[in-house]
Amino acid sequence: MRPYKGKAYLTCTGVTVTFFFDNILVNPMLNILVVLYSFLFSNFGLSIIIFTVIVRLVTLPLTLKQLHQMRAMMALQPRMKDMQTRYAKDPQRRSQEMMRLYREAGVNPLGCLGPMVIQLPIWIGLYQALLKTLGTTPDHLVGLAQRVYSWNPVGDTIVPLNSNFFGLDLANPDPTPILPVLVGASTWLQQKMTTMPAADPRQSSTNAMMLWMMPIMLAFFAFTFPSGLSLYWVVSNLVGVALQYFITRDLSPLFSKSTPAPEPASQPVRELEPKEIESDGRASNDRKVRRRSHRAGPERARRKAGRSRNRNIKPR
Amino acid sequence: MVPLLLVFVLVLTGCTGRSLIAWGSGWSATAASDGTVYVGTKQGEILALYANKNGRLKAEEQVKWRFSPEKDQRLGGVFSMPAVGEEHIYVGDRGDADGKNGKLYALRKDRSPGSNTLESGEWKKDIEGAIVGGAALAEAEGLVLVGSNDGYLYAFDTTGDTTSKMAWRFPTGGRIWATPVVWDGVVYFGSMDHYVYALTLEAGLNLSKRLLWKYKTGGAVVSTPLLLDGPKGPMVIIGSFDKKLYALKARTSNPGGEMVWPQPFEGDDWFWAGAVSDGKYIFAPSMAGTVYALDTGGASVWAERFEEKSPVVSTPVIVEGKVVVATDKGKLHLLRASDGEELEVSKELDSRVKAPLSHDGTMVFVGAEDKTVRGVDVEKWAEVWRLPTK
Repeated sequence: MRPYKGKAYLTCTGVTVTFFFDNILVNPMLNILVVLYSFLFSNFGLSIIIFTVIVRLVTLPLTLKQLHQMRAMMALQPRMKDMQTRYAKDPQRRSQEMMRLYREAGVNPLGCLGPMVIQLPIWIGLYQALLKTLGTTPDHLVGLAQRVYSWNPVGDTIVPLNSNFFGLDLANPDPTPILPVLVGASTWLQQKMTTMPAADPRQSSTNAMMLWMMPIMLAFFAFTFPSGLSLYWVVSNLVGVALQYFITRDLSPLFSKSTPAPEPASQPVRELEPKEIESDGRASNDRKVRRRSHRAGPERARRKAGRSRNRNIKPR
Repeated sequence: MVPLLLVFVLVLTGCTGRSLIAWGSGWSATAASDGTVYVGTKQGEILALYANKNGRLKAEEQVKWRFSPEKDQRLGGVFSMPAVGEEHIYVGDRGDADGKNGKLYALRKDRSPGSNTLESGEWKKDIEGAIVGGAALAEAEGLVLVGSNDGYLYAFDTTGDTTSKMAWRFPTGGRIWATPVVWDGVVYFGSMDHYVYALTLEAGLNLSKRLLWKYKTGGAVVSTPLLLDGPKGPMVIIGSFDKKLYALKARTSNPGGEMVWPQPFEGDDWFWAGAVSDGKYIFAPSMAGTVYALDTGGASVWAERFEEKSPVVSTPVIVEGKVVVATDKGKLHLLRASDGEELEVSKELDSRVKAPLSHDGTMVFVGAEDKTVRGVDVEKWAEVWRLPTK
């Protein structure tokens, strides 16, 4: 036979991404789902539930990191509020001070986002695996044949999988609004538990918008997604809510309104020394800060023009 | 956060929206008979084409007739090979985008070229599920039989005029994507419930009496059975997703079916494409891209694995002692039946192929996924024509 001169697998970015998703995420997940299905009484709904729990457990370190970051952020909120009022007229100074606060507390404001970004490919891979495992259409079943590992002990005998789960066809959207509503409600609940009370009013309004936007959007998509995916969302959210409850219940706005926020675990923010307190009860450096902030605008303009070399000396 | 969420949603909807659960648009399978090629297209049309063996006809001249019904009569994509009878052809479609409400059409072979409505003697029957496998004709019994995604094998009366009535339907425990085969008053077909069924076509029987036997394999059965004479009489050769090829006695009083070979032949992957035979050997391609040649006793004669390692979904054809095989990745191979030697350089089709091949003389017809039908002359090993079906 002549050598096959096919296209190389890794020829462009798109193909690389496909290669990564298929071989690192989708195919292993798909094979685990198939094996679970054989152990769980040929019930694909149960397989999705158990698989979702497994995925949440595997990504638990990421979730915990995210929750701890969130917890630390929440602990900083009183100070953040204080800064908000103190530097209300100097946004630049405010952000500088906030960054200093984050640094001193060992908190990365984007720290909550990092684990989420890492989990995104896992979620997308899982979605793909769920859909491809069912093999309900001829094209999908052909694709499934290439994805089931030859050494998978049950792959040949149980394919195609039965997509029925309590009268629900997991390969098709739920004809009733039950699952979409559950998706929306569970997403809202998790969102509500993770949303931090923001000091910044703009951030606060964004949070309020996100609290509703994401659940509504996902509920909307649940009307068109296969119900297997909706089931995944609901279970994933419920596991997330449970984790959230046990780790941050004292901080969550849903479970605790009056509990004082604990100090961040890392280096605390420096407290003012007694000598810095003046007779009128205000912090002496508070005044300095305010004085600096008052002149910040015109002085910065002058500095830009190159006329001032010492920021602590008023220009004549 | 918002941009991230938007990206997330875009990726999810782009990758996993309805497009993934939609039923695709079919495989454009062809069937050839008496110098005419019939094809159900991905666009929901049924075409009759002149075989155009010498390639002299232009594209517009090659279309004998085109049936393209509009609005609610419109066909979904066609996966199955048309069944060609004396006067009619029978084509089933996948129905809606979610694989429901399939339709079986009976069209006259000599219908008017420009007519997009059903003419006298033509009919359409609605079926709950999609039709993936082709129909089988039982001319003597006046029946056309077709399996459906809803798990039933339907038998329709072909002797009616404009409205054919359903003679009976037989339930199975799984979807039926396999094309049934009729032989001597019995229909043989596989189902995804892992069983191979043999049903008698006699009229007026209840379900239990209609079932002659059903044989349990280890996996789903979607391939078309092959009927041929074996060492112990007529036998049914059929592959399963358990990677095994079975030889079953066509006639047996055992309700559980009976094997002819001491044990099934074990391949390297699922068997999806139907097996074919030249009378001497049986040729069965697997989803790992291997073509097996067995003698009628089940012993392996040769095996050829294509280097592109592509699944073979398309049922091959045998033309003058040569086996023509199309792989899913779109390569056409020509193998010598006696020893599996690849006789020509495999032909790049530049499109995936899943539909069964058909042939008329030395011309092989390929329904490709790029919405074209190709005519390949095996003698010249050249593509004689390529017709876009759009």
